[in-house]
Amino acid sequence: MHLTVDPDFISRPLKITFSSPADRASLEVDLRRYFSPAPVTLMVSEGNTIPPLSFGSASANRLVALTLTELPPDPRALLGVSHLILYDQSLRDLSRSQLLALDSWLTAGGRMVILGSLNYPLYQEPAISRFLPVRVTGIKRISFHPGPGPNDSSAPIDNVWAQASTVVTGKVLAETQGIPVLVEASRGKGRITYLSLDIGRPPLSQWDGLPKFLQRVLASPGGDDLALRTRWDETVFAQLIQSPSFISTYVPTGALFLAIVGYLLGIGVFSWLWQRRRFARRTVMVTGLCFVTLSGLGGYLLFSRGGNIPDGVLLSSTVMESSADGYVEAQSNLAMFSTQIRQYDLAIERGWMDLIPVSVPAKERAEPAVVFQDGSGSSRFQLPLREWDYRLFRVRFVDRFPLRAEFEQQGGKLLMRLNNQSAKDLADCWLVTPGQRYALGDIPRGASWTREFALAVEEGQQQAGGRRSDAVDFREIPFKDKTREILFHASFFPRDDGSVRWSAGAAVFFGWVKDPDRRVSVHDNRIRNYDYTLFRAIVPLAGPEDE
Amino acid sequence: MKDNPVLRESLEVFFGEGHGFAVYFYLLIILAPVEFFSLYLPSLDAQMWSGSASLFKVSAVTTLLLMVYFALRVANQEFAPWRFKATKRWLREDGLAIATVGQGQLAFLSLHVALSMLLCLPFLIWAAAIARTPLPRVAGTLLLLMFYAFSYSIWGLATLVLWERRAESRQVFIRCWFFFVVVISALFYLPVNPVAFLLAYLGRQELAPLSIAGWKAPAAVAHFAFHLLVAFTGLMAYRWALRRDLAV
Repeated sequence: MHLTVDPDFISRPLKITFSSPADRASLEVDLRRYFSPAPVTLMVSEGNTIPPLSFGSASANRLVALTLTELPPDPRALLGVSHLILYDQSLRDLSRSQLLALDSWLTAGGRMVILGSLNYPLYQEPAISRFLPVRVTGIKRISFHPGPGPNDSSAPIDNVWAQASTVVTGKVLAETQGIPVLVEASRGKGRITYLSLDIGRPPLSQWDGLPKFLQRVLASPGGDDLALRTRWDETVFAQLIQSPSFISTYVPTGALFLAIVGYLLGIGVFSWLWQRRRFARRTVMVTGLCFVTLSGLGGYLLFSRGGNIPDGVLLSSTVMESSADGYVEAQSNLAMFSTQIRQYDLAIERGWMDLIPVSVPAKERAEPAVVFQDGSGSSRFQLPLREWDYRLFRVRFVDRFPLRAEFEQQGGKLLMRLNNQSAKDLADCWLVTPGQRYALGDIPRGASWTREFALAVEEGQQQAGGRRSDAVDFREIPFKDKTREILFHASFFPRDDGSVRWSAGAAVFFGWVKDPDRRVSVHDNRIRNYDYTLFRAIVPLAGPEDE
Repeated sequence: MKDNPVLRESLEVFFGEGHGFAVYFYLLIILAPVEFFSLYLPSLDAQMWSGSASLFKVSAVTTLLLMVYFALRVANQEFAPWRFKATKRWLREDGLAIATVGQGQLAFLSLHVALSMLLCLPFLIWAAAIARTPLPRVAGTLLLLMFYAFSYSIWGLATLVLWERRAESRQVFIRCWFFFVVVISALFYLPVNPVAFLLAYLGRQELAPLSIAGWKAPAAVAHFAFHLLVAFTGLMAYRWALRRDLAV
């Protein structure tokens, strides 16, 4: 059994209780001594035979060796891992959930480093081939020159074992005698680096420059995108629930209005009949009494059992940002609110990384929410709620969404290339640049076009050097759907410190995804699901001085 | 009771001639928009949100205020006062017994309270259904509303008999009394206040017990004791005023 413990809970000993009708056992685990503030580098090697690896004192990362079976089946357990190094290791015995966890971790930004070894058949197995950017064909001895830099004067190392391979995907960073030595491929936000050399065997294992060389291989390329920023808190939620259009999703406002008007009219008719004396007063009184009673009972049945009032509403607002290779980083902001006392089973699709509660529960309430994860990687999140209660969460995903929006700045013009190879249509698309906005309408699946847009130049400053206004203004962008408008202005593009990415001069493309795939859902007819998904691409623009 | 001339007169003025319809019109025409628009005034409050959640609370409190206010005014004969025969005339010229006059006026007041409750009932039940208020709480609320309306409005009858010829004084007293019971009472001891008690009852909250010189009484006991005292003293004042009318 694997348990993933959130880092927030490791500051004190963790008590795990197993109970059954027959017995009950408790185990207290103190995880504090395993805590590492810096990201961890995991090293997996056959039989735990680690080559004499050392990254030197410069590396802040802690190196942890583990066996294949110790790899977690939950991608969230890999969240604190920066690199995973595989050496001389067959992945044949990895379970499906372990493989899925590795996949999810990679696409979410993990780095896998596969080091070649003399046992090249291990690298021809399907389990490792799904990660390898090359197809390994054999083994050779080569003369390896380690210095990639022009100032590197180190001598070549002869008779180094290197795997022969052909590149399948990715970019060859170093090549010797026709053999790709260092190949790098991206996978979502993550990267896979393949080094064909066997560093665990002589002569490389005895080479003094090995730690430095490995540090170079493992080094982060830098320039990582800023984390996806959206605002999701009680303030945004309050705006949503105060919106009349949203209230009608969980309360039958229309039916209540009609019922009130109908009842008042009915009472008016009875009082008119009473005064006109067209019918016997006893008859009017008895019918009036029946009318009031039936109105009350009928309304009660309609509003409590019928009337399409849900037990709860799950609102999911997702912003997807283009990452690389057709992958997007998606952050789903969730609001689960209940009109009844009941338990909710939230199904979370495969590939989720973080599930962070946003709203802090009241002190008097227990928080017995539990996440169950099955072998396929999908999860269920059990959440008990009281009547008129709610919870807010954030969930992060990295998923495939092959929509490419590329920008090229050409003087005062912006060239935009768009290719929607995803299975979804985009609606209500806009391109916003400093001082300008262009309505692009709908972009259907399969659409591919290139357009040129003029970049605005402030009139007064044009003569003084053509400096643009840096502010990208979203305030005037209207949406017919009030909920979309609130989410857009309050959550996706808030006017606070999260706006730094587009306030310093950027081209922002966005569009609403039609019928988005549900990443989190509740499969129950009594619960309504509402999904709002926005695709966005933000590209910083060079100022005149940069040009 | 059916032959009680005081009750018959009140029924004729209110329902035969239709002078009382205005009361029920005001009652419904105020309650209906308050109930509907309170749905659109939600606000977050410590992990809960009001609006639809508080629909029944808002509707019940509005009904309470309206029922008490109009019951006081009806008891005080503020609607079509010229059509009612003065109490003194019932007692002296028609020779009715004090008990007959008292029973007639109390019966009409009870009928008015019950009819007000009946007309507001659909609104309250719909609000309860939307706000998911349990039925026992709804029933409890309805009983409380009638109890408050009756126990406060007895004072309307008392003032009617006490100052029969001074209509303005009565009107001022009635409004001051209404203001006292629904607002000022909260300043002395919150559980005595009907609005606070009703909200606490619907919100399943415990109110602070009454503590006097080390002696403690639960809030509910203090609340009902106070209201029974109000009703009883009102009834006594009414009886005394009727007797005074007959004696003077």
